[in-house]
Parts: sequence; structure tokens; C-alpha cells
Amino acid sequence: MEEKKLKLPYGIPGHNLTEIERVVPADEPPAWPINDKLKVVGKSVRRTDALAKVTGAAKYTADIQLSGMLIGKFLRAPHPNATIRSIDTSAAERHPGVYGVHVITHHKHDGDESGPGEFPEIKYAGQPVAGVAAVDMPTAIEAVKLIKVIYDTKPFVVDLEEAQKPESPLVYDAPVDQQETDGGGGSESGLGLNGNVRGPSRGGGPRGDLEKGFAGADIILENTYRTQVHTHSSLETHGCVVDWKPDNITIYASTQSTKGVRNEFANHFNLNKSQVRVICEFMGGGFGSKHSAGDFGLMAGHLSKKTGRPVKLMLDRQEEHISGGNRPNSIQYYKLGAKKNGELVAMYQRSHGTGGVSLGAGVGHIAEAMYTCPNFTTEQYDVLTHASPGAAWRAPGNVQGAFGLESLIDELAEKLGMDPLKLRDKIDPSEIRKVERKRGAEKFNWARRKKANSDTGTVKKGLGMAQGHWPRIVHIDSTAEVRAYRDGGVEVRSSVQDIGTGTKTIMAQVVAEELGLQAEDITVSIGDTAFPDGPSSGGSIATGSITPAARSAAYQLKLKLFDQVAKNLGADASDLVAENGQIVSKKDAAKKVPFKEALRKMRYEQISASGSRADDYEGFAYGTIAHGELGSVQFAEVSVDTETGFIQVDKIVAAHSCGRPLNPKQIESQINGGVIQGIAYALYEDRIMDKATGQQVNKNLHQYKLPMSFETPEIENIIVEEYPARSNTDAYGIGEPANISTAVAVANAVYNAIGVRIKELPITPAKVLAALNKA
Amino acid sequence: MKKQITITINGEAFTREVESRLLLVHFIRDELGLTGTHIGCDTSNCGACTILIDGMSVKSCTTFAVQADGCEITTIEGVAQNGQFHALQEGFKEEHGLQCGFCTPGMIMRSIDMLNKNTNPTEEEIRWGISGNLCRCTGYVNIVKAIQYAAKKMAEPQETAEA
Amino acid sequence: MIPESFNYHCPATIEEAIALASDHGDEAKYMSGGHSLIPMMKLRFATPAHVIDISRLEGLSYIKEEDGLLKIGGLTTEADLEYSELLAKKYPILIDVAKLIADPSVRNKATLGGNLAHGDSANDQPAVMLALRATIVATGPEGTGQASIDDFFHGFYMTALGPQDILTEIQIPVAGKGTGSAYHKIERKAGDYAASGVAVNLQIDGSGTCKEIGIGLTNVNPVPLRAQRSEDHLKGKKLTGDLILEAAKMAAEDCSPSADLRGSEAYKRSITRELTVRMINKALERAKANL
Repeated sequence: MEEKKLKLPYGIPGHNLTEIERVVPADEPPAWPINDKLKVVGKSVRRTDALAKVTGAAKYTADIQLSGMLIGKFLRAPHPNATIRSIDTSAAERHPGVYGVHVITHHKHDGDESGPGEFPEIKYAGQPVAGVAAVDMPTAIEAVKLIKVIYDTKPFVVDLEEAQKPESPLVYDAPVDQQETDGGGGSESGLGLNGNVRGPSRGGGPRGDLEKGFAGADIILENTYRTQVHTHSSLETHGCVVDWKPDNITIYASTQSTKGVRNEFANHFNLNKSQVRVICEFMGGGFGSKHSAGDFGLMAGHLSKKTGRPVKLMLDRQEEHISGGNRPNSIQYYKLGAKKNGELVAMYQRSHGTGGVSLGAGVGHIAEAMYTCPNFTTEQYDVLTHASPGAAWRAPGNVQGAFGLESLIDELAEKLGMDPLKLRDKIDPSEIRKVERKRGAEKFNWARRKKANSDTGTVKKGLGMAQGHWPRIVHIDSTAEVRAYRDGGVEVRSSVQDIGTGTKTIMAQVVAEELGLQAEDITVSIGDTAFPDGPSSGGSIATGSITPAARSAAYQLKLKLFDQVAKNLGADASDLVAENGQIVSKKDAAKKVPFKEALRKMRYEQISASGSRADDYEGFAYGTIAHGELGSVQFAEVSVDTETGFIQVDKIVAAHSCGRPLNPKQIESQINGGVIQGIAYALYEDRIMDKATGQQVNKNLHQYKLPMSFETPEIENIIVEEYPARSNTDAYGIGEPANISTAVAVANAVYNAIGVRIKELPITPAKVLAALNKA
Repeated sequence: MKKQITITINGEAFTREVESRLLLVHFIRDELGLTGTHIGCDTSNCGACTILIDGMSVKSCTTFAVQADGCEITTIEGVAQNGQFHALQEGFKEEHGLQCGFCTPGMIMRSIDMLNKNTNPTEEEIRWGISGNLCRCTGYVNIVKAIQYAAKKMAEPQETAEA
Repeated sequence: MIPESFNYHCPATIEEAIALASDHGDEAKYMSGGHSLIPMMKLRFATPAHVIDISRLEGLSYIKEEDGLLKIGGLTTEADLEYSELLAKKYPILIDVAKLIADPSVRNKATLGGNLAHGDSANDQPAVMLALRATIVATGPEGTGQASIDDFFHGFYMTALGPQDILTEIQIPVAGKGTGSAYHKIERKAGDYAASGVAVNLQIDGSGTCKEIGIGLTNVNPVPLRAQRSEDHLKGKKLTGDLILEAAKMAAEDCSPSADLRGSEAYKRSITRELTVRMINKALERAKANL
């Protein structure tokens, strides 16, 4: 591959900005300067999808109406552990208005040990057994009730600690592996299973000598922290419409990965990927839980295939809670050794968590990665329980892990009598977080923080902070196509979907910047696998993957256009630039033509160019993980009413970086959303399982408490602009980092307020009063 | 169990035979195809289904269609007038008051009622006013700003037709 | 979530409504705002064959002072209370409580009569009405009658109302000089049912002596509870901090909360005590301003 050298901005403006030379593929566009020298990129341009969303014109999956469409509905098992003896669907099939019934038979799924029976073993309450397709929802509900299933029920266990006991009922009786999906999840393969306990996963492997490290420590801390299971509760539930035609299948899906749904669907039904088209124009939130075709997608597929009609299968809110995914819980034990000056010398972390019948409850590699500690060992165990499968959720593992780690570091600071920021300045090698700590502390006025439990009144103030770590991950399999039409229209296309984060808008900005146009000049057509494959929207992957591809495509299209224009202008194509809606010669400003005029004179009605994501300039750190990270630092101010236990979060300052910020308002909005989900995790959300019945107690938004506008504090953002010089946009996502450190920053602030540390989320008023020995 | 009802939606009268148990949100979405009104929780907690009945915000997932017989309903599709966007629509657009947008129609419908009752709400009043509308994406910051934008805009003297 | 099929009736007069209810007996259920009944119907916990929508009965939505009484029509919505100038001026407890019920869209539909007739001790208005010594007026097949609020709540979802009775009016003694009232609840988030709620209405004289006091508790007892021992402890005395705390402790002892997702029994007693202190103090402050 031909290469060239480029000089790119490098570092953090206002801190250490410089320039660096990188060897890059020869077809990469030239380097962009930093944002303040750009016209469209880096500006808070309006969202391209806003109009559709404020008028109700935006069609979500639930809004899709196709001619002859049927409504699908699941029959779900009421028992948490059972074998199906028989299923009789005859009455349901005879029911007027029912067009088809499909029973789930043994189809090997990840983690399913393929028992001897005809039907899969039931391993959690709410597991789908069969589905019906009927003329409308009331009919579908009646028909589901007519399916007769005889179950042999068995003992079960839904509690994380009980499941670890040797006498506990087993979820799987042979070792299991579960593959990672497009959005994460899964677990290291080949790990042993002891009862319901699988592992340990040791992350990147131990480093140094733990024993020696502890021997040299001045201070040793041992602590256990607990986090809860919570459910994603996207406002739009999971679901899809499958329209199975003899030659091709169209799926409308509420998904974070059109490509992933296509691939999974094609595999399941043994189809070519070319026969399956997945469309997601608008979707109502996923937060990690919507990467897969899902049991509902496959069921809708079977029903549509069977009936020859389109089938819509949307989960209701109750189903969403019991089968739409959740963040696994955790019990994290830490032993930490440190020197008096704060230096970390040894850390041992052991965690147990349950994602129900699924793996993926590790607490991430934040403890391993964030701080300098020469002697480190982690042992992370998945505990299997008879509960619904977990799913990736914003920074999977790291949100749980941050609660343990950052509580622990806060305790260390307290024990050492050091300011938590100063301690981190000592042990944190990240330059970005150093800047974030500094700028954040100024905006937050950290200097006003007092010693723990200083306030004397009933309501006590507390300040706390915590940090987050998330790798920069890139999907190389990310392509965009840019088209220009003779009528002046410019369009960018990719299968990448906009899950609400503003992917459409930033793609328009990047293409517009490259072509010297405005964002509103660009039509963004995405969320359709008929277009070139884009990345999934999860793991903060999409921005860093698709925007360089989109820019490359726009750049290639521009070069084609320059070739066509140069002759007319009497200029050399290599002298032309596109800016301010004009194509103009750098050498002679008189030689110019409006961009749209140039399009009108094209030889063909349409020209097109594609671009794919190049490897990071000068390579990845490993795999497709980029150098550097998405570091974050958040500060929390709380008021704790020591007589009612009520905690009010007064303020959050969130300092973040995501490479080159493409659209600050969109980034801020996503940070704010991460913060409120963090507050929800800290204080409110908790999936409660009834140990006696194996059922979720609070499977609705009435009992399952989500904070809303009134519980949301003032939130201030700091976006630290940073140029890693690794791609042609240098931009990365923000979804994960925004959510990592909020909960523990709040917990640390609560400690600062009342002087008692609550080591278990969520920190409810009842727990506060109990901690204060008042209830 | 069917009943004939006439409901005026966004200025147009619809007469239909409906089952008593048909929820208003299903009537609006499935019978009339106005899918801008969404279903989020189905238990009157999230507000995605908020519409106006005779000018008052109501959760249409917890209302039967028959209860709205003879009423005037406004849904998000009827908020823009004569091609002019409502100040709230503008606000949500200008201030990035949305991400996935699923809550947006309900937020706007609720806010119309709020601003009708209180033309100059404080931030706290705004937060209280939308306390029954869930947004899982934005952290509400820009939603509050969007409503403030609209309140300000609605307080400005209207340009006269002659001007 | 789709309810079972039912017949819908929308009578224009109270006589017609009662006749319908009498015709259909146990199979009929009145509905006003529907925000308690419809969720139960959607879950199929309630499956009435006949729903009688009384929301369009004329003349049952008002807030007025008359004959030494504050009279509120049974169909008055919580939003009507929230925006009432009369209540804001003289009965702030009714603003306190209205603002804490569910959310604004629900309050647009939910009625005061419905909130009380539902007989749910998790609802907020029962405690407030206990504190205010309200009288409930209802009309049924036998004509119109009334009941003191103390005799109104009989048990879980059970009240003095017969199945065919319609709650038409709530009467509250007009707030005189030196009267102050307040309500608050601890909830997990705005719009939740109370973990505990306390309503206080009291009257003091010029010397600061407590002449009358009513204390009602929300959701810490199977039936809405009046904290009578606490009231007796304070009545006729000057309200000191110690006295108030003693009374609050009595309220915390006398209720019987059950542990649930909101917290343990001990937690609920603890916050009931604290809320009682705070609401007495708040009512007292308002009373002093009203002397």
C-alpha cells in the first residue's frame, strides 16, 4: 500500500498542543487543523433529524405499518427452571384471527447446552416458549393464553450469593461459552465451571509480584463493594417488523447494529446476507442492549415465513424488564497496598457478578488499566443464575468496576490524609485526565471541599469526584458512500444507524467540511443495510469508525469533481480547493465555480465515491483498540438529609475528552444523559428479584424507579479538545465514558457529607439512615 | 361492546365504531395512523403518549377512546399551524432538546399545557412541570433550555400580519 | 396491556348514574379520572363488566366557601386544586398535596373524589382530609348522606361508600384565624407513592396555645391513619420543640408500616417521626403568619 507523510495537530490545545508527522495511507485526505480553524466541524450545528422528531414525522419501528401486517406475541415461561414436557398449540391455531403459531424447538443458542428434549430448557422466568401471529394485539393476547404447555418445574436460584453455594441448583451442568456480540458481552472462552461459578477471567493476566508488593506497602486496605442489577429501560422497547418475501427479507428493527441484525438473522435462517435487508431509520434508545436480532427478531422471522405476511413483534414494558437485557450486578473484593506518599504498590481484585443465564458480568479492566500499579492481579467470576440474560450497557464492566475502584481510591486518600485529586495526580499516568482534573476542579470549585462530615446541620453537603477509563475502539469494517447529483444534492450513505446520539448530524458535518458546504446541504441516508456496511453504535465506536470513512468518501468524490472542473476552469486539479460553497484555485482566486454549479455541469447525473476506515495512523495499540483512551473525570455535589436519608444531587461537573469534538452540543447532551443514568445507578434503579418465585418484583416503570427531570441536578460539561493524530477526523465517541464515574462520584460525595461510606448501590434513603444508625 | 364516538383530532372530526376497551393511544396510532404519539411504559409513568384533550395534557395510554367522545384532541402532528412551527418545536430543535426523540412529542405536548398555565416558569417549575415525562437520553438539561427558549419566544410581541 | 372487554356508560345525571350502577350491581364500577381504575383494568386486576364514567356529571367540580365550610366537588381535579387561588391563600396544605400527586398530566384527570373513594392508604388525600377533619358527602340509591372522615376508611380499598354511592362533595371547616396546615411526603422520586407522608392542620391562639390539631399519615398503615395520640398530646398546649418531638414519636409508634421496595419498617417509622416534626413546625409557622 502506498503511503505518505502528513503533519497533524497533536495534543491538547491550551496544554501541550503541537504537531506530529505520521505515515498514512496515500489516499487519506490532508490533515485538518484544530477545530477553531474549521467551518462546520467542531460547531454545534443543529441536528439534522430534529425536524422529523419535533413534528412526529419520525417513524420508529413500532410505527411501521405494512399492508397485511400481523401482530406477534410471545408465550413466556412462568417458571425460572423447568423442562417442557409438551406443548399443544391446536386451540391457539384454531382461534379466529390467528394466522400462525411458532414453537421454539431446540435450536442451538450460545450457552445452551443442547439438552436431549425437543424444546429448550427453561432457565429463567419469562423465557420465550412460543409465539403467535394474529390480526391484532387483543387476539394475539387471547391466543397466547390458549397454548397449553406442561412443565416439569425444578429448583432454581436467582440470588448472586446463594448461587455460589455448592448445594445450589445448577443453571448449566457443563461448561459454557458465549460469544461476544457486536455490542460486547460474552466472556473469555474456555474457562472452567464450578457449580454455577465460571472463571476466573484474569483480564490481561497478572503483572508483577503481588506478595512482594504487599510486603512493601505502608498501608493496606481491604474492602468489598456491591452493585445492583438494573435494566436499560430504553423508552422504545425492543422489537422489529419482519417482512419475509420469497426472494428477500426486509427487517425493520430498533437496533444499534443493522449489520449485526442482518448477520445474525442470515445465520439463523441459513440465508445469504445479500437476501436480508435491515432498516433502522429512527430508534428510541438502546444503551447497549439492542445489538442483536434478538429472540423476538427470530420469532418474527419464523412467523412471517410461516404466514407469508409481515409480522410486527414489539416487547411491552414488562417484557422489556424481564428479557430486554440488564447490567449484571457485582460483589467486588479489593486488597490494595500503597506507600505513604500515595504510590500504589499492589492491588488484588476479585469479583463475582451475575448476568443471569448469560456471561459477561466481569467488572471490566478499569482497575487493571487506570492507575500505575506494578503488582496487580484480577480474578473475575461469572455466576450463573436463573435470571434473564444481561446485555452490554454503556461501558460494560467499567461502570461496576469504577464503583469499587474509585470508592477504594477515595478511601485511600482519606486514610492518607491526601486530597483525592492530588492522590490521582500521583498515580494516574493519563495526561488527558490530568487536564480534566485541573479544569474540572476549577469549574467545580473543588477548593471549597471540607473534611468529611464537617457540616453540623441536619442537611449536610458533600463533594466528591471519580474518574473513568474506556478504550478507543474502532470498527475497521466501516464504509460510507458519498454521492453528488447534478441537481446539486449531496448524499452520504452507510448502514450505520443513529441511535439518537447524532451520528447523522456529524456525518453531515464531516462531509460538508470536506466539500466546503454547510451541514444542511448534506442528505444523510443511513440505518439501512442496502448501503455500505457501517459500524455498530455501541462501545463509543461509531464516531471514530464512520466519520473517517465518510470524510474519505467525500474527499475521493471531491477529487473526482475537481478532475471534471479543472479543465473548464483552466486550472490544475491539484490546485483546487472546496470552500465556502465554491471550488476555487489556490493559485488564482479568479478561477472558481460555485460547488452546485460544478455539479450541474457534471457529465453524469450522479457521481459517487466510497471510503472505508483506515487503520489508525501508524497502527493500533492492539487489535482494533487505538492508542490513548477516553478518559473522564466527574465531580459531584450532594446534600444529604441526615434525618430522612434523602440525597439530593445538587451539581455534577463532567470533564471529558473524545478526541476532536465534532459537535459540542451533541457531545454535551450525551454526557448529560450519561450523568443522569449514573445518578439513576447511584441512587434509584434496582431490579428486585423475588427469591421465592424467581420473578422480577418491579417489572414496570411504576415500581422500577428512574430519576426524571426533578431529580436531575445542574450539570456542567467540560470538553477537553484533544488531537491524537490517529485518523482523518481524530474524533471518538462519548457514550461510554459519560456513564462510568458519575455513580461513584456521587457515592464519594455522600461519604464526604456524612462521614460514613455506603459500599452498596443504590444508595437509598433507607441505607443512609441505617448507616447513620437512625433506622 | 362497541360504541360510536366522534373525536376531533388536530381540527378534523373522526367518527368511528370502537370497542370500549380501546385505549386512546391505540385509537390515535392504529386507527388514525398518527404515530407521533408514542407508547413508552403503558402505565402512565413515562409520558411518551401525552396528548392534549381540550387543551389539557393527558396520558393517552391511561384513557379509553370512548372517554374522549366529543372532545378536541391535539397530537404532535397538529402542533404546527399553517406551516409555522410552534415555539416549542423550534426550541427543541434549536437547543438540542432531544436525542433519540422518542420522548419528544410527549414532552412538547406536556409543555404546551404547562406554558399555557404559566407563561414565565422558573427552571424549577419547568422541571416540576415535566416530572411525569421520562427522557432516558439527554439528562433533561437541553429539554429545560428548549422550554425556556419557547417561553421567551412566546412572550415576545407577535408580529402583525400587516408588518 | 389491554383490559377485558366491558360496557361503557357515560350518564349525564347523577340519577342516571346511580340507576345504571343499581342495574348492574357487582359488575359495575364508577370511574371519574380513571387513573386508579384503568391501570388495574389493564393489568386485569379489575375486570368490571360495566364502567360508569361519572366524569361528565354536571355541577360536581367546584371549590368554594359556603356556610362556614370549604366545599370541594367530588369531580374537582387535582389540577383544579393546584391552581386554586382560594386554596393557595387559605388552605396551603391542599396545594402542598396536589403538587405531590403523580404528575401534572395525571393531575389533569385525577379527581379528589376518586382519590378518596379508592380507599387506598397509599393515596395522599386521605391523610390530608383526616388532618382537616373533612366530611364526605355522597349520593346513592337511598339519597344523600354524609360521613365524618374518621368513619370513612374501612380497610384496604374499602370505604363507607356503598357500591352505588357517588362521592359528591368534601366539606372542610373554614380555616379561621391562627390556622396553619402543611403536607409533605418522602418519595423515591417525584410522583411516587409515599414511603411516608404526614399531614398537619392546626390552630393556635394569640398566646401560641394549640387549640385544634389534626394529623394524618400516608401509606404507613393498612388504612389511612389519624395520629390521635399525637394530637391529644399537643392539644391545649404551647407547642415546644420537645413536645412536638414527643408527639412525633407517638405517631411513629402508632402507625404500622410494612416493609416494601421503599424501605424497612424501621426506616418508615423513622421518617414518619421526622416528617411529623417538620410538618407540625411548618403548619405552626403558617399559623403564626395567619394570626
